[in-house]
Amino acid sequence: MRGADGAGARGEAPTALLEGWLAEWYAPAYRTARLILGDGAEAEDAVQDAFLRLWRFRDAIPEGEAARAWLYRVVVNACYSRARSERRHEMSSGDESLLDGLAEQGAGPDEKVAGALSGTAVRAAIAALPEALRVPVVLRYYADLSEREIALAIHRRAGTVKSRLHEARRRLGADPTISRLLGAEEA
Amino acid sequence: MLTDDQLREAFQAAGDELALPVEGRAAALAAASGGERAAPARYDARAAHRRHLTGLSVAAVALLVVGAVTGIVLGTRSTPPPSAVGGPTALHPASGVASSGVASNGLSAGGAAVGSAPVAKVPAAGINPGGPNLGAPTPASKASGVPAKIASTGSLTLAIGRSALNRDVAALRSLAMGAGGYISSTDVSEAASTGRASLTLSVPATAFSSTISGAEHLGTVRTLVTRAEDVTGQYSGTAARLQALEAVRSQLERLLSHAAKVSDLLDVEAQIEQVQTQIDELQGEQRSLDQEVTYATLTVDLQLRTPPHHAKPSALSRAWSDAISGFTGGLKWLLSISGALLFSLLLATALGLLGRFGWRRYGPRLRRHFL
Repeated sequence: MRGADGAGARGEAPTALLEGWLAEWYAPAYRTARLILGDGAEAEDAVQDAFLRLWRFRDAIPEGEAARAWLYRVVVNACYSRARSERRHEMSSGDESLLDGLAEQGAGPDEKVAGALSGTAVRAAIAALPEALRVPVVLRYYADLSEREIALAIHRRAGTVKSRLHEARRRLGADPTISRLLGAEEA
Repeated sequence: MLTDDQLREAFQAAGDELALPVEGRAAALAAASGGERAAPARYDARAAHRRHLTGLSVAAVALLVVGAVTGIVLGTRSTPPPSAVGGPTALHPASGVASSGVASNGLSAGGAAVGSAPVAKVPAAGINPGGPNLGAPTPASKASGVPAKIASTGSLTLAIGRSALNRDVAALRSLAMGAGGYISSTDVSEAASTGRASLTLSVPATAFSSTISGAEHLGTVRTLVTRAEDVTGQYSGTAARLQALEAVRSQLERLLSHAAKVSDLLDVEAQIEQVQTQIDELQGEQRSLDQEVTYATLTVDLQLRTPPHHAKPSALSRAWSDAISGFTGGLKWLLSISGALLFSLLLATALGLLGRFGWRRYGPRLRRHFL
């Protein structure tokens, strides 16, 4: 995490430092949380909690590359807390993002619909995974963390992460929609 | 098995198309900045541990104190007065009315008798039919701040004179109309021996209390049961589902405007229709709840005060009745003494056997001794 990995950064004006973090990390953190939780409002709350915790305990943030894994660790913990405390509203997943995605993309109507539908299908497949598999697979393929960083983020050994990722890949591959979508893209 | 690259690409696409919340960053900034003022700058695990332990201890003590006080208060309040236990309320025929939802409590011992029937007033919990609470503006829900939605119902049974039946039915109609309500059902029977009437009054909830008071004056109250059901949760749930479905519908309509292919249009239209059906159902449910909350329902049963007149029995039927009565009386007497009779029989048998055993063993010796 830039801005949190050195004394110089910690010497900046507090608000400017926080704003810098948010500018750089809010979007990936929010989208990671959204993929894990499957709900926009819950993800927003989780990320807000995560940044609050990060900011309160910013002196504990490790320096260098480990900062990124630390950030995701805090985000994942916030997601676990949200998932434990509240049952997520199933209805809000999928459609909203599909439509928002359509609004943002610049492609033609058919491409928009096809792209949004494939995104929805992928998110639905992710949501169908159990939490123990969903978190590492999102961290691996969306947040692009290494297996070692994921192990740090979810408090598990690297071997456990490896086996969970393998099982998640197997399940996603067994999903006919995902297979068809990714197969079609490959073709 | 899918490759890492395929999955990475699919996940990135699925994640990146998610729109960010408009105020998300600003809210996070405000929350973190606000939290900073109240939070320590450096995380001290030991201090935090100590704080947690202290907090837990304080919370446990507070819970114990609150629990003890609550227990004492509730224990004091829930103890019924001795006169109400096993009193006329045990004979109350309509207790089932208040058995669901809000349970009845505070059984009052309105023990004045009408003929042979006991009188029992059974107000439901939180309801005071004659007091100011019933029909008053609903209190705000503590949790949500939303005004509480209370559906009030009541059942009143009155004993009236024979000549008053039609007059009281008309009076109840006037009462309902005067309160701004209406009669939703009427069932009047004017048979000579079993004259009775049952009317269901729907009146504005604010006039429920005054309507009960007005109806009570028409005769002698035999039973009064009132019930208030809090439907706030149900109402809020319906409203939330409705709001969510309306959002889905508007989003689908947006999607409809973007779809270019006919097949997509048809798919989206089918989904809109499905969502619209659910919206219609929920709106109907909401209207029904509104109606229940706005209008309270009071069912008034009017019963004749005088007992039914029976014809004088003939001599033959009296004789037959006496015979049956004599037979059952004899049977009852036989059954009542059967226990003692059986015991005597067993005792006599035991004594006889003992005597016989003794006579066989010592009889010859005694005979020789005395003869």
